[in-house]
Amino acid sequence: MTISDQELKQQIEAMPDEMTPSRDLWPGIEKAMVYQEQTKPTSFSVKHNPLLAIAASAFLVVASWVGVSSYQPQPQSMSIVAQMNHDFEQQKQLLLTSYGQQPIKQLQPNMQQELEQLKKARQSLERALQDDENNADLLNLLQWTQQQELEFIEQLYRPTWQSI
Amino acid sequence: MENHQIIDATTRFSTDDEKEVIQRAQQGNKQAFHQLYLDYHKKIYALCWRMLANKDSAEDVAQEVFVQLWKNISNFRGDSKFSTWLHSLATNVILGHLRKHKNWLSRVFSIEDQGCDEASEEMQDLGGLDKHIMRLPERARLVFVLFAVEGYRHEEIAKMLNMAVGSSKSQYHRARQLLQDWLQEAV
Repeated sequence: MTISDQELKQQIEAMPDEMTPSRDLWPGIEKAMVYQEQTKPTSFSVKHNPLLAIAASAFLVVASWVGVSSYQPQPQSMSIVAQMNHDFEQQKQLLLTSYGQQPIKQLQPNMQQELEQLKKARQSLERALQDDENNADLLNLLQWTQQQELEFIEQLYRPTWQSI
Repeated sequence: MENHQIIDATTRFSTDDEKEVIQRAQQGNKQAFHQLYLDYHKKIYALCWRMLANKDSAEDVAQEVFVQLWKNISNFRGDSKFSTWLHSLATNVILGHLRKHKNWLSRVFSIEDQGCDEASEEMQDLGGLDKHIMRLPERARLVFVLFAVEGYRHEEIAKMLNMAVGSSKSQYHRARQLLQDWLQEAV
């Protein structure tokens, strides 16, 4: 025997449509608004400045030429997994450097645990790929896991609205 | 009759008043935006808490909703009620947050959380039904809040949660059944 649909409906209608947060949320919002304004691109846009558009195009041409000429090919013997790991480690290092290499131990335990889980999953996939290095499913999963780890690191270290 | 007219006029006045506040906020007036925050933050926080079932996350996400509102308020054209538009923006921010923070294991193996057996300490202050809503498994809770509390249709919910319309309906029935059982136990 359960309560009737009608009684449930009455309880839903009686639910408060407002709840009060335990802390004042406005200061954090206000800081974020100021932060947004400071980081907003200026009105000096390419769209309204043909000269700037030409300069930007020229820069792109030069930059891509420099990029091509300075490209160092990886040794042919490097496997797909090794190449993926190489790229992943580079991106991870870049990310950690940009956020000031904060020690992971300073993070909350549940975040440390999540990061550790991702790392373990990535390592298990790498081990599995040692026996079957061209397995597309495993490669996809490895790529996905690496991406998750990078996104998670970014989320962890990115300044939050409360701290800016 | 006279009374009815007075109420109508008051409602109209308050809507016009809000329209003006919205317009000023759209022009970048922070004081007007703060007024909107004061008017709506408790409603948005309630939605965040019901959908996320976590007080701290609800507070953080409610802040994010208003940050996004400040960024996107110029997109409000007045085609619908401001509160409807804001709730829809909030729902998108909440679902985005859930997608971003979902445990990677659940993503890979499609494991669904089983809800919790008892309401946690932070939920002790909540009213009867809210306390039980927090105990629902995530998908059932989201569908229930969106359908029964926010008034979305199953077709809309299915699109938002990337599920079949039938799944949305069955999750709703599951939620309703669980809530009815738990409410009965509490009697």
